[in-house]
Amino acid sequence: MIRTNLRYHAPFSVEDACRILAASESGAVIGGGTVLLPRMTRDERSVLDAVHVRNLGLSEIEQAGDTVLIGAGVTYTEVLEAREGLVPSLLTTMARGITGGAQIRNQGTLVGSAAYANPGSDVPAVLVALDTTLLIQGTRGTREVRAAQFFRGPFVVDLGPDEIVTQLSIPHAEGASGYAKLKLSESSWPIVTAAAVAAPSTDGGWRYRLAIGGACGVPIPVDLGFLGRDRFELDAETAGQVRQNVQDTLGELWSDELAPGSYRQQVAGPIALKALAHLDQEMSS
Amino acid sequence: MSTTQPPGSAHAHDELPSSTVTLIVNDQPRSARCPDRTLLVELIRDELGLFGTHAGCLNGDCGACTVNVDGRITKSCLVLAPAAEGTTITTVEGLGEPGALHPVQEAFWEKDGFQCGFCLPGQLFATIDLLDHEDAPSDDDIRGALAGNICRCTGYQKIIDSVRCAAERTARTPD
Amino acid sequence: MTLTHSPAATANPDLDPGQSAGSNVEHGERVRRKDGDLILTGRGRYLDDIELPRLTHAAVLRSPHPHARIISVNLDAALRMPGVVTALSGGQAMPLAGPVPHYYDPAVAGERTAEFRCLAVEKVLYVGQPVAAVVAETLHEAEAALKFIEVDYEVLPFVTDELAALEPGAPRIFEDWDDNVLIRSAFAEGDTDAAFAGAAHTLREEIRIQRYNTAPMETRGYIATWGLDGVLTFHGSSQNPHPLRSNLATSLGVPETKIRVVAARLGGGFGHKFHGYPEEPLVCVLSKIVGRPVQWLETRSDSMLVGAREMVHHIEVAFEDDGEIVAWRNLIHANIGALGSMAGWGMSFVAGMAFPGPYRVKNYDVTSLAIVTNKAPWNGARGYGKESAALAIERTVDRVAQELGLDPVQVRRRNFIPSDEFPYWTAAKRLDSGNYDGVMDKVVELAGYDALRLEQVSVRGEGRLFGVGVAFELTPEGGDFPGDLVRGFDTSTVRVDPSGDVRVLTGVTSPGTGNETGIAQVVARELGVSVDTVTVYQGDTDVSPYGYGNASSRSMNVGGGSALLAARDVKERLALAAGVLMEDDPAALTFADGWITTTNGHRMRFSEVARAVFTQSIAIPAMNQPQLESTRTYGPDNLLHVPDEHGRVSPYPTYPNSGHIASVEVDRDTGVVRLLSYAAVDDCGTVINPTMVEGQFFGAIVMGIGGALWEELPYDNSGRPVAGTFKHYLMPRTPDLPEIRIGSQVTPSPFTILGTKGAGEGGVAGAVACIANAVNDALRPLGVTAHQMPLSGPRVLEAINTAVPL
Ligand SMILES: Cc1cc2nc3c(=O)[nH]c(=O)nc-3n(C[C@H](O)[C@H](O)[C@H](O)COP(=O)(O)OP(=O)(O)OC[C@H]3O[C@@H](n4cnc5c(N)ncnc54)[C@H](O)[C@@H]3O)c2cc1C
Ligand code: FES
Ligand code: FES
Repeated sequence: MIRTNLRYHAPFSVEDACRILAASESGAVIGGGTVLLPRMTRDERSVLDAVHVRNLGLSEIEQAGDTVLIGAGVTYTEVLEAREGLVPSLLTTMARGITGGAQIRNQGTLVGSAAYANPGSDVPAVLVALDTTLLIQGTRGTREVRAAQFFRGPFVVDLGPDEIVTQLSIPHAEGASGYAKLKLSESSWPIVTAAAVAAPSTDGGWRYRLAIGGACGVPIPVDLGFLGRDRFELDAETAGQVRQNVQDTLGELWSDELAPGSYRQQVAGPIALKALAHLDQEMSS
Repeated sequence: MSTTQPPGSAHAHDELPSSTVTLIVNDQPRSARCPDRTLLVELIRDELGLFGTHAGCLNGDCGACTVNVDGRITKSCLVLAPAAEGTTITTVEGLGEPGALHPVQEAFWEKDGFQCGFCLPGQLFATIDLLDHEDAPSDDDIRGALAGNICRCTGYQKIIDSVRCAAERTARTPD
Repeated sequence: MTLTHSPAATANPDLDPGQSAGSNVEHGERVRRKDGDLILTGRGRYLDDIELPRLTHAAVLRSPHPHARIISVNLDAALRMPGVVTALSGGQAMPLAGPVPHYYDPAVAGERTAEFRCLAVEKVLYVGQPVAAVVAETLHEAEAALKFIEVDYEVLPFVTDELAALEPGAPRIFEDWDDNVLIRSAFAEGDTDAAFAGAAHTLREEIRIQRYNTAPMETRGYIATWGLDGVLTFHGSSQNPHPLRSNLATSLGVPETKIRVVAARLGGGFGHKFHGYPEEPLVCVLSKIVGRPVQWLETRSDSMLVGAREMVHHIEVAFEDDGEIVAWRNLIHANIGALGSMAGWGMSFVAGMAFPGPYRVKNYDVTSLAIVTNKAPWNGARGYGKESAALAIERTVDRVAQELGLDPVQVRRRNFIPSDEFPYWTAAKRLDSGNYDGVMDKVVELAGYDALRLEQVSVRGEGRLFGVGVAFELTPEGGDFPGDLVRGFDTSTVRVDPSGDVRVLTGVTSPGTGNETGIAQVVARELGVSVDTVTVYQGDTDVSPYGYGNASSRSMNVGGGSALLAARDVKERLALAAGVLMEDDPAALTFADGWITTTNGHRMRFSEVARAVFTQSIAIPAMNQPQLESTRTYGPDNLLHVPDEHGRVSPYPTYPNSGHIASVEVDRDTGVVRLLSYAAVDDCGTVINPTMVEGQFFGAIVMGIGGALWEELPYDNSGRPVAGTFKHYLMPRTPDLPEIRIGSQVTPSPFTILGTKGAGEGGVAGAVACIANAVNDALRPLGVTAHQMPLSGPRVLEAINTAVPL
């Protein structure tokens, strides 16, 4: 059970929230609480001030010009219920695959997952593949961080103790996407994830992006430059090249209770290819 | 050992940051004062005396603590009690009662969809949630809907049979 | 569902179909679960739902070291924490409670033993061993205070690997033992060496089953309360309330008459809630100190400390060209952790005793070593060593088939004990009855085995790894181990009230399996009343007769059996009374549908006759039996402790069995196994309630699947357990499973009064073996085997990686 003299806050402005965090000896933001609460219950995380995002007015998914903004309070279910075309299909596919039942999709937020930065989570690689920018607010103002820079290491992100991720800003690139992940079973945290995106570029071609999650401490963008700008064909040669690029890009491998780094390394290529196969399929239809 | 309390260790309950939580539970207005560190599952069980909501893992994994909060099924071990202020909650006790079971409870009894019964809150709420969204769920729909709940006793087969039975019964007849 | 008869039942005089309503029905009625409406609406009360005034909460400080000497424990700071009522160290607990009595003391079997205290005193032997405890007003406060207990340890060398523990210089777990072997159990028949020497073929394998447990959804919990009269009331989520009461009396030095144990409704048991845990006497001591009720609840990560099953089989098999197995040799190393007082170590004995399974193999030499290490102790776990044996037996049978290019079903049939050879003796079992071929026929049909093999040919043709697994399980049940409170008999009282309502008070308990429904059915059928008028009382030692609770699928055999005998007594008295009242021969009356009817059609309500017994017995002298109550004890006939002329004994009376066939696909890139189909047929003798028996079988199969593929309790190199949540300990969930199809065959046991053999445990072992065989069958084209369980993605990929590229 929670052992600290925890105080619960549900402020109505981000400024207030940041102030509370700044003043606290040990504060934490609660998004959906699906990660934070069990950690407090087991005393793995000792929190004195818990600041809930529920009243911050950050529960919307909005279109803003060329980007879609996803608020800190937005849950997987809300992504799934968003009106057609508002969120990139990659996010929807990813949200549909979140385990733990409707309960977890109803409660967990995308931002919470990003802020936790568990290497095995679904969100990090997806954000990198979508070239997402995280909008962050603290007592000293706001700043923006690209997803690829936000994830610093396993469970480590670019976020100060007084800061809150307010929104995810995702460039609206109406392309195609493919997503794949490996789990050992339904109960298993993802072992390796792969998110592939084909964004239409101004010259009428495609720009391909691929990010691998779970293999290393942070999501790894994989160079797909060799695919060029045309529609690609996933033949043996391309597949071999993708595998090669994945292997070349992986840095220090991530190991945890479920699988050693060597396993993640070996399966990363095949999972990347699965994501590209889905992308291929989506582009064909 | 010592049973005397050293000075300065006055009962700490009152010093703890606490809130009065007012909410509607099973159609009744309820209110309870509890420390902020209380989990919703603790509030429901210990303060409101609704012991049908169970705690099997306190980690979001098992689903035994599932309740419906404002129309969404929720694992109550993942919510702080004060965050439930102003919500409307249904617990397993609110679904039906002996002699007047919810059709899904009826189906679970008939098809023997439980043994010890500890996991039932998750299985029942997930089934009801599924049937709210899906008139004629496929097997994959059913397996997916139950995925957030662990049952150690049944091996799930009779739970799935129960859900199928409930789906058939509640399927709206075409008008 | 087709039914098959067994060879004629002869041995049991009680088994007279004309006389006993209990024995002539092979498939009883599908009565739905008693109290279902309460349980489904959240009105069932489990341990943590018990409300007691002035309840306090205990938290336990556990050892962070696998092996260390305790230098000092300082509780001062913890005692100053908010809400703390008391705190206790091992030294302080010493005079308040004696050693925790063993569930089954190895000393009773003539082996070494060791003493365990509710809190460690001088040494800790495993990570997680209780060292100190705090009681506070709330659980939050008790847990918060743990951090402030200062314990000074001198860390000692430790050993968690069983082979390392056998090395001469290995750290000794118990200083007064000269090595780390608790017990060496040997089971042998025939001339194994000669059989090996003369056999056409031999092969050897090393097969490892991992440490994992049963993880019931409700963890353990206990509440102790001392009354002003000195009576201790102990609420516990326990499978064996009476033996627990006896052991608490011993440990606490309190007359047994001053202890009442009430086993709450259990949220699953599976062996995890066998007694012998240190927290049992601990809460009693704490409650005595604080003078208030004390509750302790096991956390989920505490529950993952409890081990079971970890064994390595070094197995050899000798066989002929036609698949006949002529001999087995097996050396089992069981890593039982630091022994403890719980029921786990016996699994190492049973794993050896289970040989040679369902097969007529006349030469075998099996030795099982229970090795102590610095891992947390075991408790019993559904399967109880039989899953480990089945894995080793069934894997080697498959390897034999593979070597000879024969079909695995055919090799099993070649070796089955024929139906007409029962009762069949092995070194330490007399098998009651069986028709293994019949079970195999049914499962082959149910699974569509031939079609699966055809499918395999075509899927393999595409280069995919598709496997079909076959396994046969033999499950010794209802064990009786003299000398301690683990017994194969039990006692029930049947009481009829003046209203005609029936109470059954029984010494067996239900961990949520539903045996109360089955017992009520047996009694209702015997008395010819509606099952709704029968209420079964279990688990309260002040209410039920002394019994041994829930273990080894014994509940219907002995709870149902003793209730049947008691019901017959009561029926006799009712018949006597009804005969007087209706002036007919008592023997000619029929009891049915709540009526007692004479041959010439006169009838009285059951309830009227019951009332008359209470109100008229003296007034109408011929009735003369003014009490409708009987208590009877019953045990199966096949419990044989007196050695026969060959020196053989049989501690298990009944032998349910089952056949399993599954298909899987292994992903060559990731090693992840996808279970595609599963079919199984069981034979647990007479079935009282098919719905309940099916439920047990489904649950057991999925528990076996979980253990075969995902569930594991690994330790790291520093001697610490790695799994603490269900995100590390991977339980099966609905999307992991295909539709599971089951069938049934009934071969009654000639040695039990109901013809039952026991349901509940059976299925785990078959599923473990079946999945292991299916995965290995899938890997065959690669020429590799995967014999390290569980067959999770990383393990299987490791095996795939050893394949020689073509
Ligand atoms: C049963 C179960 C199944 C799950 N399955 C999956 C799965 O399949 N895939 C997967 O990826 N994950 C899974 N998760 C993990 C997790 O629940 C989700 O990823 C979820 O999205 C986390 O979000 P949250 O809002 O609940 O996080 P919280 O618990 O609220 O927060 C997590 C961390 O982020 C911080 N934080 C939250 N919001 C902010 C913010 N706005 N600004 C700054 N910091 C913030 C918190 O302080 C905390 O440290 C599962 C969890 C459970 C319990
Ligand atoms: S107790 Fe909440 S999910 Fe298990
Ligand atoms: S019925 Fe016991 S856990 Fe589901």
